This record gives sequence, C-alpha cells and structure tokens, in this order.
Amino acid sequence: MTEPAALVELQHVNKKFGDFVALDNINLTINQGEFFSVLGPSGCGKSTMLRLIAGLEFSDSGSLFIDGKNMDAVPAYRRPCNMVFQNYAIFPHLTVTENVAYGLRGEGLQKSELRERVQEMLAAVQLIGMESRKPDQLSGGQRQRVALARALVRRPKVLLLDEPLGALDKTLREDMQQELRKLQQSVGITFILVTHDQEEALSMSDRIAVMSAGRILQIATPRDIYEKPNCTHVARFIGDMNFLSAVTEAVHERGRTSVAVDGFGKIDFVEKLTAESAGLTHNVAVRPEKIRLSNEQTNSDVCVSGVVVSSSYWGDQSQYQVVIDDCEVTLTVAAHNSSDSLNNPLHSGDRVWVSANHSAFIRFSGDSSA
Amino acid sequence: MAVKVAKDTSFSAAIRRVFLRARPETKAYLQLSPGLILVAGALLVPLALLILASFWSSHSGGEIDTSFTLANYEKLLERPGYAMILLRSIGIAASVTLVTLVLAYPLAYFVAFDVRKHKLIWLILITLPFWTSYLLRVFAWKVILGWNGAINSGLTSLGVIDEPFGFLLYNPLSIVITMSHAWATFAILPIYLSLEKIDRNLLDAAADLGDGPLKRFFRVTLPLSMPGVLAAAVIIFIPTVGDYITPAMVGGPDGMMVSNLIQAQFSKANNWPLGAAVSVVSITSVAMLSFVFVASVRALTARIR
Amino acid sequence: MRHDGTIGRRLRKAFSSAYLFYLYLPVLILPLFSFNDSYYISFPLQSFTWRWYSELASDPSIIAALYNSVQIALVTAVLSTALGVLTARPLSKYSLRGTKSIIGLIMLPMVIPELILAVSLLVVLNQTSIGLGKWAVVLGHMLICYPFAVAILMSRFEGFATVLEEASLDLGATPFQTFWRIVFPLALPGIIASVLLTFTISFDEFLIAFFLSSSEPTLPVYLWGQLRFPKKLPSALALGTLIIAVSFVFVILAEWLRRRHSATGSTP
Repeated sequence: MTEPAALVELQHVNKKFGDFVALDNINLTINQGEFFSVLGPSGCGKSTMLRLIAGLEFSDSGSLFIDGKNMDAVPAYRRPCNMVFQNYAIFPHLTVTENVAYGLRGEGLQKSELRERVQEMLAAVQLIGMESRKPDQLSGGQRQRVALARALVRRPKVLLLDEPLGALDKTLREDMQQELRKLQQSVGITFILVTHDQEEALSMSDRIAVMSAGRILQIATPRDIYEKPNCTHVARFIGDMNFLSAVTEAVHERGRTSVAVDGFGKIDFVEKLTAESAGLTHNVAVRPEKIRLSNEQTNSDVCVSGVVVSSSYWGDQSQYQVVIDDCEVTLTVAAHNSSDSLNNPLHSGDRVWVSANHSAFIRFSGDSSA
Repeated sequence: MAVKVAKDTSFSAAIRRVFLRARPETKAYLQLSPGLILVAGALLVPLALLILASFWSSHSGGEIDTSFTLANYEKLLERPGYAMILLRSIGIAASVTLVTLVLAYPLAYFVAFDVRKHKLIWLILITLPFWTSYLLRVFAWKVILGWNGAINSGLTSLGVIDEPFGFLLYNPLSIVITMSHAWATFAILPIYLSLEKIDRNLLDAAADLGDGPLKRFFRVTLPLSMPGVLAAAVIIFIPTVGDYITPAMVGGPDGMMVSNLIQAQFSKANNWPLGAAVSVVSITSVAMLSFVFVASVRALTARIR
Repeated sequence: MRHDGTIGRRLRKAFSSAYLFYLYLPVLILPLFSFNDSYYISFPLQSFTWRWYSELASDPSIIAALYNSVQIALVTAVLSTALGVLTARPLSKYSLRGTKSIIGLIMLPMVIPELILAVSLLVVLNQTSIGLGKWAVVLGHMLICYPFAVAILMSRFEGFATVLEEASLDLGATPFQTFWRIVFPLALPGIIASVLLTFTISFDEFLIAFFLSSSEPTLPVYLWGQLRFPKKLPSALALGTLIIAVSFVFVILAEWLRRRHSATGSTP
C-alpha cells in the first residue's frame, strides 16, 4: 500500500486573539481524498483552524501548506479551497443560479460552459427547478444545497464545512449526513468538516481530530477515537463513560499488567509497564454499553453484584444506575431493549449481577485528574 | 508526502504577507481616516484658528494686526451690553428648551405607548417638517405672526379683534415660538426612543405593586426616560444659543442674540477678531453650562433613586 | 393593555393631533399664500393665481441660483455619502477602541451652531488661497451632511453579515470585487437614502452658503435677499413652496427606501 498523499499540512501553527489562545501549536496532516472531521466543544479553536485554511484568518506563527504550496502570502480568493459557512451565507440579493455561478465569474469561462457547469452542479444537489428563486424562498435544506453547490462548482481541492448541518432539524440532518458522505465519495475531493456533534463526526469521517482549548488531543479513525481514547478528555467528550479510579498492582511477564479497579477488583491489561509503576493510581474507564446486567452470575472476565438505584427508558435502550456492593461506585449501564429483556425489565431496588470482559476497560496513564 | 515549495521570498509576497496579516483594526482606522481628515480640516483647524484670531486686533480700516492682545476680551468684559446679549441668548435658549420639552413629551409618550399600528407613519410625519428648509420655516412664522400676518389678519377679518396684536412679532416671545417649533423633532425623537426602550413589564410590575397611573408615571416612566429628555435638552440648548436666522428674522431689536453680534462683526463692523472673541466666549460658556446642567441633573436623579 | 380607551389616552391623542397640526402650520401657510393674488400676506384670501410662479420662471438670477444650488447639493451629497460609506462600514463591523469618541467627533458639527462653523471656515478660507465660492460652500455643507450620512449608513450596515463578504472572498472574488458585487448592492437603499437626504440638507442650507458663497448665491441666499423687498414677497413664497415640495419628495423617497428592506443579509 502506498502512503496517502498529504494535501493540507499545518506545522506548529499558533493563533491568539488578544490574550485568548485559539490555536496552540497545531500539527496536522490531511490527506488527498479524505473525509476529515475536527470535533470539539464551541470555543475550542476548530472554526479558527478552518478559517485559517480558508485564508480568512492568518496564523501568528507556523506554516500552512495546501497541495505542497506555502499559503503564507496567499489571500482567501486565490486558495484552492472553498467553504460551506455555518449559516450558509447565501447572498440574499442573488438568485440560486447567480449564487452558484458567483465563484465562476473570474474563471474566464465561456457563457455556455459556465451555464453548463452551473446546471450540472444544480442537478447534482437536486436543485433543478429552483434556479430563479431568491434565498428567502428556500427551505433550510435547500439553502444548504445552494451553499454546497456554490462551493463545489469551483472544483476546489479542499471543501471546508463549518457546522454545515447545525441549522437543520434532526431527520433532515441525518439524511444530509448520508448525502454528504456519498457526495464526497463521488467527487473524490478532500472534505474537512468542523462540528461539535460527535455522532456526525463518527458516522461520516475517515479520520477525526478531537480538539480542546486550542490543542489537538487525538487524531484517529472514528472507531479508535471511540474505543481507544488516548486521554480522559477525549473519553469524556465522545459518548458516555464510567470513570473508575485504579491502582497498578503487579506487572506480569509476557507483557500483562494487572490493575485493581474500584468495584471490579483485578483487571488484566495487555500493556507492558515498567516494574516501577506498581502502586501508582490512575484512571480506568468503561463504556456503559460494555457492561452487562443479569439475574444470574455469568462467566465473563469479571462479575460482581450490585443494586439498581435508578432506571430510565430511552426507547432503543434503557439506562440504569447501579451501585456495586460494598463500595461507593455508581455505574451507568446501557442495555439494549431487545425482545427478551423487555419481558424482564429491571426496576430500582432490583439486585443484579454486573459483568464485563477485561477488553472493555480502558486504562489512562499519567492523568488521574478524573 | 508532497514536495513542499519553500516560502515565497519575493518582495511582493512580503508586502502581501504584511497586508494580509494586518490587524482588522488597522484597516478599519485606514478607512475611517478620510472622514476624520474632513472633520479635522474643516472643523477643528478652523475652530483653532478662530480661537487664535480672537487674540488679534483690527484697525479701523479693517486691516488685521496679528500680534497677541487681550483687547477683545477686555472689551467684552468692560461693556455690559455684550454680557447682556449673551445672557439674553442663554435665557431665550433655556426657555426654548423648556417649552419644547414640555410640549414634546406628551407626543413622544403618545407615539411610544398609545399608537400601535401606525407608529411608522407617526414617526415619519413628525420628522418630515424638520427636513424642510430652516430659513423657510422661520420665514413662515414671520408671515404668520406679523402685524399684517396670518393670525392678526385672520382674527381681524373674523371680527374677533379690532386692532392687530403687536406683541406677536419682533421680540423674544416670537423667537421662542419659532424656535420651539423648529426644534420639536429633536425633542420628540430622543424622548420617544428612551420611552420605547422601557420594558413594559416594569410598568405592569409597578401597577401590580399598587402604584396608580400618575404615581407610576413619576416613579417609573419619567425617571427611565430621563436619558432621552437630557439628550434632547442638550441637543436643543446648544445650537439655539447660537442661532442666527431666527433672531435676525423675527427677533427685532429687543430680540438681538449673540449670533447677530458675531455676524455684525464679520460684516458691517468688519472687526472679525472681536467677532471671533464673541464666538469663543459664547461657545465656552454654553459648553460649560451644558456640562454643569447634565452633571447636576444626573446627580439629582441618582439621589432620588 | 390596561390604559386602553382611558381619558388620559384620549387627551394625549387630541394633544398629539393638535401638535402635529402646529408642526405643519408653517409648511401649509407658505403654499396657501403663494397662490393668493395679492402683494399682502394677510387674510381674507383673494383670488387664486399662478402669477408668482410665472414671475419666478422669468427671473434669470433665480435660474442661476438654482443652478448653483443643484451643483453644490449634488457634489456635497455624493462626496459626503462616499465618505459616509467609508466611515460607517468599519464602525459597524468592528468594535474598535475609541469608537465612541470617533462617533462623537463625527457628530460634533451637528451641535455646533452653524454660524460658528461658517465664520471659522470664513476665517480659514480668507487666510488661504482656497477663497470663497461654490467649493467653499461644498466644504461647509459636507461638514454638516457627513454626520447624517454616517448615521443613516450605520443603521443600514447594522447586522450586515460580515460572513457574506467572507463567502465572496472564499469564492474567489477580490476585496474590490466583493465591495461592488456584495456590499454595494446590499447597502444601495441606504446609499440612495443618504444621497437624497444630504442633497436636501445642502439644498436647503442658508447660513453657511450666506457666508461662503460670495458672488455665487444659492437659492436660499437669493431668497434671503428678496425678502427685503415687499413687492418680491409673494414670489419668494412661491419659491419657498417649490423648495419645500422638492424636499418633501426627496425625503419621503429616502424614508421609503431606507425602511423597505433591512440589510441583515443572512438567513431571516
């Protein structure tokens, strides 16, 4: 397999607004044809990063390369990237066609060619029949398509999307997620999506960068981000998580470490630690859906008893708060509402067996802040 | 990995880099500068020169002596006539301000609270007369108030009076009537804006706490609209002290104001250093008076609260 | 609401209507007597006549003054609106340090008596080689029109989405193209309103023109000169009526333009 070609590269990029650090030493490489998401809470610097790539902001230090070219002295209107803005920024005084054709004016195209490219694009985003409408006669979804068409018609190397689905309602948003993914695969352009919606990032991206307070915490595939978060911040931000404090007990040969986890006892990790780490405290986390509740004891790796203290019904699943016997640990457990569990719902006060496999546990070294 | 092109080191790229990275504030100040140059060049510099000229003197032939002298100011202090005219101007302007505010408040209140559907029409109707020539409006008042004017001739021809009223024109009263008409819009709009901003829930809350309409007005509405009233007072008072057209047209000899004095020095008397000194004295005294007025009203309202 | 239909409300309505009538009284009196067939401006009215208007048309000095006025007002309106666009855009777009004092400085000519503006300019222009005449009047008029232009345009630019400009840059338009293709068309109603209103202010203005116009009188200056002659009074009324009519048409047009659309730009 050949190494993928880098298209956008940020090296040691810093950006401050007054005293506020928006980007703190960002290093990032985004590949040709990749669907890349930047995920983080609002104010984490993800939009600033996107605007930096677009040329709407300039970094204080560090460099940005697009397709191998230094973008240091290149203004926004000369960059090979186009953006879909948060509220679409459709020009209110222009029709749909005029909006889409806006960016082709400077390309020196023949009139017929221009019309052809606009028509082709309008067809691709299913806006045929809306050509002469003004933006205030369009629905939210239609505006989003205009913004998309307007950017893609310029055939950019990179398409930047700033929370493009945030203004849409839930069902429309889910449809558009699938459409965007399909569109990206058909045009083969690199997409960089900025979002605070983790489901959006997980379902659409090839890779995700998780950001917080101006830094990139982790860059990985959606599966790795969810299954193997590299720090408690990422684990906390993506999905639900139970955090437990733990102490390293012993380091075995064959590269296994056994750790005493609050409430669950000894758990084995396939990680090699030095002998000195014995006795150190740290965090261990486990996802709510990786824990099983049952009336009988199971032969899972660990199985302890506890009491349900509260339950809430969420439709496809139920969430339970369970207190493990003889310790203060409260766990959140998610159970799928499959047909057999429906016949036997749990109530608060019920005694249950709580079981999980060793592989369900994630160990964080270094930061025991949680 | 793609091959990276090294940084563009050409001169034009360096210029571009500087420009692209310029703080938005820098660009903003650059755009603001032509307007500020106009204000500086056509207002601040001339005002400074006017102040400077007030220390010059004029020979009888109209020749200007640019050596420094306090003679103009001494003259203004020595002759009580000048002080009287200044005091009269201030007195007239204060009466105009008071009359205009008192008349304007109910109208502003009406538009802010009573009018629902046609607010915009009312506002346009109020602003429209303001946009017509000031000179013509003053002229119209002269026509209305004159010895043979519209009021007198109208009343005589109706047989209400035998002899025309003489007190209508060429005195301070006619100035107050004319000016309080001319400046009405400047009183109504700021008061209206501050009334419009009042949260209607506050009024309901006051009523709920047992205040009657009158009490509610004096305890809630009036204090909350004070900023608008204050702004209107200053906006009216300052220019009216120095108004020229009205006293010149309807003031008569008893209605001579400071601006007539200034104008005379710049034309007939041909002693514009003295005119400059009168301008400086009137502007500074008006500015000081307004400042004291605003400060004391603020202190007063702060104490009431 | 609870104060509906009370005596207070009815009183306020009566007062307000009367006050409005008082506001329009002078504006109604001038046209009324401009059609009255008498040298004396007094009741009872005589017969209806167009005489004073036809007298105006046959006076070459009025035509010359009209020409001066239109020239001055046109140049003043275009220049002060252009300056206003340059000023209002950054003031409403950024929260700059010193915004308040900058606006205060710009609005200063509105509170300084016009006579003082006029004489201080007179002193400067007499001392320099610029001299008096049409350009001197334009300078003085720009000083009083510029604050109005800024105020009108700032309210137009308020809430004007900066992101539209960014979108334009992103789509390959240069800053210059962005101004002409996005900012200008969206601000156009405000720009036209500003041109109309500043034209009206300059066209109506008397005092500055009186001091600075020298041998090139504007219409109001010419009118002022005519008021001394009782025989000229009726035609002065006719001239005044025409000036008021022009002002009304311009201002109503400007208000209509200004309020027709708002320039928010982004999604409603």
